[in-house]
Amino acid sequence: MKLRWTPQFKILVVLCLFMLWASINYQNNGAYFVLFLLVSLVVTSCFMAWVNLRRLNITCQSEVDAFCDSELSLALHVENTGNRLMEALHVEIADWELLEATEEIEFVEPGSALTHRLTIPTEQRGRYRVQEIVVSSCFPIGFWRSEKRFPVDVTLTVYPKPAGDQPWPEDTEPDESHQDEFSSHSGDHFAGHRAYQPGESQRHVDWKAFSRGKGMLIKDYRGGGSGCVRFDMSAMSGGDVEQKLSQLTRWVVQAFRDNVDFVLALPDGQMGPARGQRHYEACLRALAVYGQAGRQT
Amino acid sequence: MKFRFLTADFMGAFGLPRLERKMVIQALACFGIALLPHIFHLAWWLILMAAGVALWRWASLRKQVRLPPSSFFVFVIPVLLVGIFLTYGTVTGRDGGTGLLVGFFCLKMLELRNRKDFLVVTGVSYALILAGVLFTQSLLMCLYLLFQFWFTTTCLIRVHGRTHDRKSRTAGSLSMSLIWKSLPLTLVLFVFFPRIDAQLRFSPFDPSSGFADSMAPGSVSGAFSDRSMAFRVEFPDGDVPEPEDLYWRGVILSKTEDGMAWERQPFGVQREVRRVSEVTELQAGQVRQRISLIPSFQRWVFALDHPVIWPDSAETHLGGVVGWPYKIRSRLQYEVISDPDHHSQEMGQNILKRYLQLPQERELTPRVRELVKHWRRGGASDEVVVTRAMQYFKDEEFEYTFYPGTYRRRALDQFLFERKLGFCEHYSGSLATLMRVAGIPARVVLGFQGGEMNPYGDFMLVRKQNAHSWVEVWIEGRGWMRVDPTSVIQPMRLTGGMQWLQDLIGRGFGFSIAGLDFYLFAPGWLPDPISEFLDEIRNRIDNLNRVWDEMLGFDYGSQLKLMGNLGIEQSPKTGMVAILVGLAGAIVLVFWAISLRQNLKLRPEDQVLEQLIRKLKRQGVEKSPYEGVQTYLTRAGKEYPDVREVFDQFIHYYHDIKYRTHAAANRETTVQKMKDLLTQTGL
Repeated sequence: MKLRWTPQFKILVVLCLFMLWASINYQNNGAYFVLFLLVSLVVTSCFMAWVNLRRLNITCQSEVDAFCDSELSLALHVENTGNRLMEALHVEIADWELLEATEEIEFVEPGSALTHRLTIPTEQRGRYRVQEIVVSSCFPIGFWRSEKRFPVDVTLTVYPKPAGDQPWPEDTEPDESHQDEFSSHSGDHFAGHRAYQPGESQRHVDWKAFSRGKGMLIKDYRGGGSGCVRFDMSAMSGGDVEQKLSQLTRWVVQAFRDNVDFVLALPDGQMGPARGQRHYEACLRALAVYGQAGRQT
Repeated sequence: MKFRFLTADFMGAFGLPRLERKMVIQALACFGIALLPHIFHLAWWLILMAAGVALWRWASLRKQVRLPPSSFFVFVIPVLLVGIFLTYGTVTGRDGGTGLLVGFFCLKMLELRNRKDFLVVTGVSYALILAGVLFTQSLLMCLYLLFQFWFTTTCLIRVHGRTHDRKSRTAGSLSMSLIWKSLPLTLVLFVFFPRIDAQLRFSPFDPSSGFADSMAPGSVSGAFSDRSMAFRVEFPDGDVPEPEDLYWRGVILSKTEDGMAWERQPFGVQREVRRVSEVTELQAGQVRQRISLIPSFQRWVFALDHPVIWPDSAETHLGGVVGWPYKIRSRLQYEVISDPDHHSQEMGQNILKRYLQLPQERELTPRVRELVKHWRRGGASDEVVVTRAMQYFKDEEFEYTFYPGTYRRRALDQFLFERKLGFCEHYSGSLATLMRVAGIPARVVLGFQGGEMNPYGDFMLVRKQNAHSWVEVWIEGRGWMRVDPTSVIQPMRLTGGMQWLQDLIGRGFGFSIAGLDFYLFAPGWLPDPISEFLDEIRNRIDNLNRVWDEMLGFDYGSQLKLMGNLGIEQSPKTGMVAILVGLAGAIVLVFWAISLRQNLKLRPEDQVLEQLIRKLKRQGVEKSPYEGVQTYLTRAGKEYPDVREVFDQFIHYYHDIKYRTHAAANRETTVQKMKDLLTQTGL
């Protein structure tokens, strides 16, 4: 735990010297009193600043992920194990150059804990590591800044942003069951509506329902096909790598939503065919770190 | 680079979020509170500017107007500096410095955008508290300034976090407790910080409002309604002089150009004087006085006429002027012994010449010379001439008034034969000139006359409105004799205390702003009982102020005395610094220890838990360091199946307190339940 003065402190020193000069020149006891009171106030506040963070404890979850351009929320468990109110905490991630993530916690009651969600804006896909959380406070009057560092080990995964409007790839292993050329959902029949989730393709939005004011609804197609879709990066045309990754992410999300088997083929490996949560997350992670293996922040 | 006034860039002032509305209101309040004690002595245009700024800022809060752009400040700052320089003659010193601070405060209010700007506001507010103390140190003002200190600190706390105003944990209460905790260190610093008696002066600066050291009856004096204290006198031996002896001698004026306005000349040094510390027994008629003088910004002090035994540190001037080795910038306490019946005998050829020097020839009109010649008729002696002159003032229709208008050309002639209006300065000034024309050495004495005994504090208060001037003439064989022409024109002044003044300017509470008098009550409006009651309150407040002044009078001398009492007489300054460092270190250590302890103390629920763990340990069920409470108690429950449910319940309550806010609210009852469970375990 560190305690050091702030820039304001230096200005205060100048102010106090000026006050001392005036007090001496006018031999004015009132002026001396004001000066000494101010000096003592600063000394006393030093203890308060030190005590403030002394019983702070922070732990946090080890893995967080989000799509790029959305907000990543890192839940911190902030605990005050002391018996004093802890105030004006300033939480940030140490050596975090890429993202600006600083936040204020107004207070933590003595002997209690709270969960603070550190919101981190995401701008670039990839995998990041957070190794240290820094909590500082200028409480109570800002001339001293106490700082406490907490070693943590969090992996933040930022997936590529789902985007792109390339056509849905054809099933590579067509099923024997009935095919309808006119439907993009080969053979699946309409199974009802469900709510639109952000990040999903707008291809299946029921725009007619939307225009009737029912909100964004997705036409769900079920059954029939148990076909397997292949998302192959090398087979894609046009656009740079990032655009391709975005398109792939979009397809993966769509495939997961539609609950179909899919294969993700990247130049450095292939995943699947499979379906379900695990496969989905593994694919997204592979997309997040594609081409930047070992990169850490 | 973007221009910003008063906020250094290294503070990182750019790119901070805008200040919230309620903080702006807070800053406005701080602005008002900081300026209030200064409105009585600030230049009118600064007050107007401050009012304008407050309105502007308020309107901008309501989104009616915009705040000025940066270019505005580039233009306004030089104008401000020039304005302050023209008004006060300097931008440093007490008056100019305060003007500058207020001006900058105003500009900063218009530039108040983010937290860092707000910090500058609090800094200026602290500086203005100090400036306020330099102007007046009355008890009420100091209480007000303490309030301002508290408010400024509250602002500082708010801007650094505690914006929530929860019960008993407001920023205000925290600020109060901070100040309270700061007091021990403050007192140690106050008592043991060596008062440096040198003057660290980089620029000549002096408040304009010192005591007068010359007399120009052409100007209108505002002191007649100033009820504030000039000095306070205690008579340690209990012998209060008679009212007609209450002439407090200050400085003598011996040079005149026009016969009415007088100024002082350098004093000679009086040798072979006795000092107060050399005297133990007083002779009959001598009066010992302990005087506490407000900063006079002059190099002399006052004593009952005529001082015979001098203060220890005084400079001894001829003419009975008690000089001081330096300009008096702070409260001064000294002891002096006077003898009302003593007449100075000092005289010599050089001195005689000085006291016979006449004004310019053109001022002495034939009428004036004729008048003096008339007094000398029949070869009258000096004493007779003086008596005749006094008789002249009495018989002619001279009127005593504070507003005589101005005398410009041939002032003496005009005053004596035409207008005949004036106050003490006119009468003493003209009489001294007339005496010199008659060949009698004469001089004017500036000082105070009168004083009120305070029934509660056993001291005499001499107010600024008691300022007076009289004449001294040299009578061969008797010495310098006091002649007070005012006594024949306004005899009440000598005998009736301040009653005559009350009758003159009316009864009631009055105050004065920038030389204008205001009365809260019209003359004669108050019935006597209330008026007496008010007098009593005034007396009590005066007494309270005396106690306060004694604290403010703490100086290097008092420090030396204290060190003497502590047995440190050699190198007292080193001793003071040593004690200061020692005590301050001790306080810091105590604070450190307290703050260490504060957070080590377990919370009540943890205390109960600790007790349970200790009891279980005695039974052989020890808690491993890595074990959580739940795991541990579950394990203990297996050892003691009978009370397993009690353990479960215990964990439940413990978790409630720790992790559920609503349960934490009635913590006490839950802790009590835990304690009950503890006894139920029967361990």
